[in-house]
Amino acid sequence: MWNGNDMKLDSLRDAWRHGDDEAPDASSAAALDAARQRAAALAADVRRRDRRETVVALLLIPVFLLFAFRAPTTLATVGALIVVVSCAFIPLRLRAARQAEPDPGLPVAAALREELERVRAQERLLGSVLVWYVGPLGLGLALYMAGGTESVAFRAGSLLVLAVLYAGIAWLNLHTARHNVRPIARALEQSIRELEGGDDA
Amino acid sequence: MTTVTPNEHMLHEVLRTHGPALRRVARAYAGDDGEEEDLYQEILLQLWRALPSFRGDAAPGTWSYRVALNTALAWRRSARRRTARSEQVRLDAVQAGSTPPATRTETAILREFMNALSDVDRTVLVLYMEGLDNDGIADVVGISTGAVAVRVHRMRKKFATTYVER
Repeated sequence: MWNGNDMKLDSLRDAWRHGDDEAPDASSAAALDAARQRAAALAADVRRRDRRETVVALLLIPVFLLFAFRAPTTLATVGALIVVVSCAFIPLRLRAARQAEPDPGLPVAAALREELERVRAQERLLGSVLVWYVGPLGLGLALYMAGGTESVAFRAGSLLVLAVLYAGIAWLNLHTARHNVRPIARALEQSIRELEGGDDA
Repeated sequence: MTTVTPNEHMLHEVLRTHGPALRRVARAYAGDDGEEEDLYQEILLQLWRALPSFRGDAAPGTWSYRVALNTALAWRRSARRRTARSEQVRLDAVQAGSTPPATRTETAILREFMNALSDVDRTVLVLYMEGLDNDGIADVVGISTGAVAVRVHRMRKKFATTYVER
């Protein structure tokens, strides 16, 4: 219990350490084994995701190559070929953009700065994803649809659906950057400012 | 048969000697009851993942504090994003502050004081409570010893103003 006016921050060190003996702590070997298993499971998840992206791209490439050869117009052929190139390009770019986690063994201030760089890069990626990643794919699909021999109404309807889909993607990216990524960047900037300001005080 | 590398052996030693300290870091940054264990497990996971990049530039104890605190700070950032819990924690701290000090335990008062601090000050306070000197804290946090001294002085003064002089 609180015991009077002579209490200082230093005297709470015992209270800080109190209760550790009661905490059920697994042996270091068991705890590390659990950590090792979790790390392996996480690495397997990343490998599965990479494989999924590659498989989808590999499946789409022959399909659109076939469409390119059988396309009724030059416009549709060009569109299908753009889709083929985009399908090969997207998984490569996404994998290259996936940045390594900062080293958690860095001093706190350096780790915060690295994390801020990573978050800013993520924000930039979200801003450019429409142009550089799914943009060419959309352009290819639009040309392929526009170059088809179906009725004008059908082609116009397809292009409209595509436009709505891309508007949705753009909004989703903007929303994620604004509501998920930017607040983290702000919190990191504030912590870094606070750390750097300590010297002047 | 599994071969234990020198770094893995070092990690076993870190857990043996600093395990309780790492758990206290988890306790200082976790929210409700269930989160302390989750955060502790996350710290162990990050220690394991950071192991290959450990070059021995810092003492194993310093390194383990760095990993634990960086993990805890990342945990708080992501928790804040999910639930805006920090506002609730600060609200809890204010509400708890209205209880007369005499009716609370030292642990509760320390927790309340910590909850009202910024993430950066909490980091310094955790290391101070762990018994690290200013040089040791500066080494873990990556700021100058003078800056640590200023922060510690400010916190001690704030604590005295908030809890002793009222």
